[in-house]
Amino acid sequence: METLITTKTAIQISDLNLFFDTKQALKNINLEIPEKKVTALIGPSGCGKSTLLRTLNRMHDLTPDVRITGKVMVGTTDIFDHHTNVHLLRKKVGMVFQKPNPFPKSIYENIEYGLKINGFPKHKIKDIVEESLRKSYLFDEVKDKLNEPANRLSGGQQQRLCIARTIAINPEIILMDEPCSALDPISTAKIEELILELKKDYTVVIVTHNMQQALRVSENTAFMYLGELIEYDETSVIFQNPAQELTKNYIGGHFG
Amino acid sequence: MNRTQFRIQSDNGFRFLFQASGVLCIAVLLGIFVMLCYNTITFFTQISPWDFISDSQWNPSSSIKTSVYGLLPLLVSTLLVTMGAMLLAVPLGVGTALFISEYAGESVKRILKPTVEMLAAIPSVVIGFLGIVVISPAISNVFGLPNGLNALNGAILLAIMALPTIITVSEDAIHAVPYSLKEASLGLGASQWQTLRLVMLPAAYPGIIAAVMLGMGRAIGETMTVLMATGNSLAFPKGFFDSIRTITATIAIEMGEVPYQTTHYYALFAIAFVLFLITMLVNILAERVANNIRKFQ
Repeated sequence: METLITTKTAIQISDLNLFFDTKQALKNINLEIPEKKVTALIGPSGCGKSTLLRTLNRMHDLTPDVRITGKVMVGTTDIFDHHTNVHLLRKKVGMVFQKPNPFPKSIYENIEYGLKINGFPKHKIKDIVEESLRKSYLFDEVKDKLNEPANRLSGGQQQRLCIARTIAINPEIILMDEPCSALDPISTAKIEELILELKKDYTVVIVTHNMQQALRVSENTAFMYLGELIEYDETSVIFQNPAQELTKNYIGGHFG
Repeated sequence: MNRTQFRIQSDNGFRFLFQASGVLCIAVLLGIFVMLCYNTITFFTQISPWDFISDSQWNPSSSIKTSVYGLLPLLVSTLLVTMGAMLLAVPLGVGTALFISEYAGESVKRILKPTVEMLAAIPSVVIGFLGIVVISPAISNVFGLPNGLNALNGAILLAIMALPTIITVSEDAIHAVPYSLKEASLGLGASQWQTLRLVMLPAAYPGIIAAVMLGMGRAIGETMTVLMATGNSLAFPKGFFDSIRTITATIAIEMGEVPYQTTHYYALFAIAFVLFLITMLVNILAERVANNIRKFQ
């Protein structure tokens, strides 16, 4: 655990509980997510890993009957504080979703949208669009058809467009909710390669069902089960020498 | 007769039954169309199409010499009330649809949606009645007019009639926008209004266009309400405060007393044909617009 503490913390989660109506989905989570590293959240379906991820940019604001206690600090911002501007928080903490969800607009407009609503200067938009497409390794594939509908792209290209859209507005943290679960192996490999590139500039938190993926892309891994954080350590430790019996059983494929 | 034979025969029987109902429907619709065309053509053998289009008066009389069959006053009347109705109903309807699907809580929604749908069940004659006893006096009071039976009255009533369609269909269209798009937009830091305006509404556009066109179709073809509420004056309409007479009202008023196979009789078919053309044009246009937008979805 020492190595975790020596690096700077991007997100500090303390005593986090989350209830959907009366059902408790997250139980007393304490977690420190280091800056500019990839942190993976793994665990069986329904363990709360996506719920935890969506707490970090307050996506639960949309869902009725959600009650949250505890504290989440993103940098120096207490995200549940009444003075916190949720729009600025979400600009800082970008999100890539499970299924590629490009807007029904052109490729260019998909990226332009986030820049426009966040008030980026008009004359810079074109350059930022191109830069973020390059950063997400999509530019060469789409440079001649920027004005075509985004939904004509393949699933993997769409997901990379969604990543480009997210990094265009210059977030500090990127949350990824099983970004490859709807993609084929080749597209998955491309996204993973991209994630490894992204961690140079961004803090990445990725929820994944695919344990091999966690092993390939992440430095740290948190294992969750039934709303609890069971174990959190360096990925190599979690996969080779977990402290908890439950983690070992999950990694070993005994349940999940 | 054994079982297999019976099954084959009943199969053929049902096939014939459905075929017959299909053919019957198409035959009836085609028949109406042919009748409309035939009578319209007959009209144009007696009155020149140019006179029909350019004359600014609709004044049928028993002698063909003194009769004038100008489409314009009726057409302008129809377009005036329809456009007026749309000007009122589209913002109101789309706004209500947005409210129901995006802002209203579950309980409000549960009451509001069926209520709006029930509004569609009010017979047009009741709406016309409402126009005569409530809205018309209100208009004459507010604007200081001697008579409130005018185009504005008709437009308000037609707006009321078109609203349920516009609200229901738009609400469905907005509701059908995938939740993931809303998430994507909010996830980028957009506010709810930005999300609505820049993502949800454009994505729901084809549906909203369809809603507006359906509402417009209802307004253009509506007869009883405008017949009761717009005063039915044959003077050329100059604005919303003038009494007007729409194509539909003209047909309804005159068809009952016109002698068969006369020029006047054919003239009524000719204006009905114009009405048909307008409705068809509206539909084709709507389909075009919707298809253009759908390319991106």
